[in-house]
Amino acid sequence: MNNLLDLLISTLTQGLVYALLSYGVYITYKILDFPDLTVDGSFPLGAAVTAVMMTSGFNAWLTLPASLLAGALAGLITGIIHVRFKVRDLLAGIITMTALFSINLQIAGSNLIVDRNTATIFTSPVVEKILGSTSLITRKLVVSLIIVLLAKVVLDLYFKTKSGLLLRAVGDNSVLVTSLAKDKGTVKIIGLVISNALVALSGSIVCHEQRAFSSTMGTGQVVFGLATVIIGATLFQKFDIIKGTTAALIGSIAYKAVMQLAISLGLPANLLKLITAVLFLAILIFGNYQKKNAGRIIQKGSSHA
Amino acid sequence: MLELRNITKIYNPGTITEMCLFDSFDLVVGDGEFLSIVGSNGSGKTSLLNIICGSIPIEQGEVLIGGDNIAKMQDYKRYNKIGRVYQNPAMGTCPHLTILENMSLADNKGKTFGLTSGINKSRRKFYQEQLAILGLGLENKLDIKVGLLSGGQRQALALIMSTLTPIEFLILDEHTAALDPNTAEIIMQLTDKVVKEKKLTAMMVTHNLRYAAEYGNRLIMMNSGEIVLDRAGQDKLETSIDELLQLFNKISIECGN
Ligand SMILES: Nc1ncnc2c1ncn2[C@@H]1O[C@H](COP(=O)(O)OP(=O)(O)OP(=O)(O)O)[C@@H](O)[C@H]1O
Ligand SMILES: [Mg+2]
Repeated sequence: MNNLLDLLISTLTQGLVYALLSYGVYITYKILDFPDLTVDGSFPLGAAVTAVMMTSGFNAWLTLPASLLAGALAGLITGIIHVRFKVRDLLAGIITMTALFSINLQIAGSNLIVDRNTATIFTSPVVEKILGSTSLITRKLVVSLIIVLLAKVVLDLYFKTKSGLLLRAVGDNSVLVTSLAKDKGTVKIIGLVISNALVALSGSIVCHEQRAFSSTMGTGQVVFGLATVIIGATLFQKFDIIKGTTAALIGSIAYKAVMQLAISLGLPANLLKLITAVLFLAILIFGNYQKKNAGRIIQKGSSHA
Repeated sequence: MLELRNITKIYNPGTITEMCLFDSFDLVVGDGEFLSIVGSNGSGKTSLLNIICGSIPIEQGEVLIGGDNIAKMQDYKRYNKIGRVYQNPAMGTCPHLTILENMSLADNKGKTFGLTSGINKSRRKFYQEQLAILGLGLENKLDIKVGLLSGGQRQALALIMSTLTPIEFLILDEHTAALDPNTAEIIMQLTDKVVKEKKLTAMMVTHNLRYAAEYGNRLIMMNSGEIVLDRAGQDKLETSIDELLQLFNKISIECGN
């Protein structure tokens, strides 16, 4: 019974931590209409920066802004490659992702373990003081929840600012942004920067959670992000009031729950990616089917780079 | 004053589909002129507007605004002085944003898009007044997503949005083509009113010869990248729709259309 509760809590925590990545993918894929593959590189980048800082004795909390910054830089590079050098969106992401693989190896090697005695954000003195005697697993849940909700509130507020409105406009109809005498390229770059900062933050917290960095931990994260955003959007298609970030958050939790269930039912870990692919395809087909039934009223304005 | 000097525009240069549309093309549009542009399909009307706005590159020539050559200026910078409504109603608005959000975006043109609230609640009333002029009831739909509006409603909104902030030039490309006759008439009258009130220099492409004859103070007819008729002032006033139609047909026959 206790085991089951622990499993539920840890699954929920997983969903929360990865929701930050989903927010990022929500910005690029849903808002900017930009399938950004940088994610597979910026996610482990956040973890690499975090692992190195922790093993070098930096305060655990400092790794969060550092990862945000590193991710932002990765997004900036993809943005510049795409906007200034006019490389197609997918290719621009692939270039940065590929480069980041080497950069991550340079930063943290192929594997880096943070030893038991180093305080993570979950075992830092502040958290100890506030949450005191609760189990580590509960603390992980609470801290992740706070960070993820905080990020959500900040993002939702940002989307309501003038800058946020312009960001939403550029994916919707970039011609209008040009008519407003604004450089649509710059707006796209801003979106990519915010997105990858969030993705790296997600990687950082995963590193705190696992006390480890591995150079391959980025593989498949884009697909995960896309899947969660699309699950979220599909689940809440009929509810216009549900925010995109909320949908991404719930999508992420749902996804991790399904995966956990599959593992609990005895699915070999080797097959996980295959299941991911099948699940993703199923979601897409289901989404298309729903769309057809609903009869798309809102048509996307033309949006080219 | 807007001036096009010695413009050469070639589509797909260096390929087998190479097509020279404009060859030493010149046009001067004076301040406060309301220029109607007519001409058959493919005569280069949209291309002309695209060249002015910097949406397409040119091979040669100068585009002068107030004497400054802006031929190398990036498109988005030109829109500080230009408002534009496109042939396609989808181009002038954001479908997934509400009318209020669209109006707010338009209202902020020329200012910075920073971290202050995207929507200024105190402007709601003003937006409603602006939309009420259209007589389409859009003023009661501020919180509706623009994608749910009809093409004509979107186009009308696009016109209001494009002239919400101070501009010098208004560029219209068949902006009434997607509208029903009544709405088209309302939009034409509104266009005329806005152009006069804000003392804009306007260029309006239209296939409606009556609008071309009735509105504006200058009229040009284009044919395969050349101006074949140019009438202003009294001459323009005396140009009848019949005369335009005859000329239009004559050119079409000559060109084997
Ligand atoms: N992107 C393009 N590539 C190649 N050729 C083009 C392109 N755009 C326009 N053209 C050609 O240039 C010519 C003029 O086109 P344009 O769109 O300016 O005509 P228009 O006068 O606006 O016609 P319509 O009344 O149909 O809107 C046409 O022959 C067209 O085929
Ligand atoms: Mg045209």
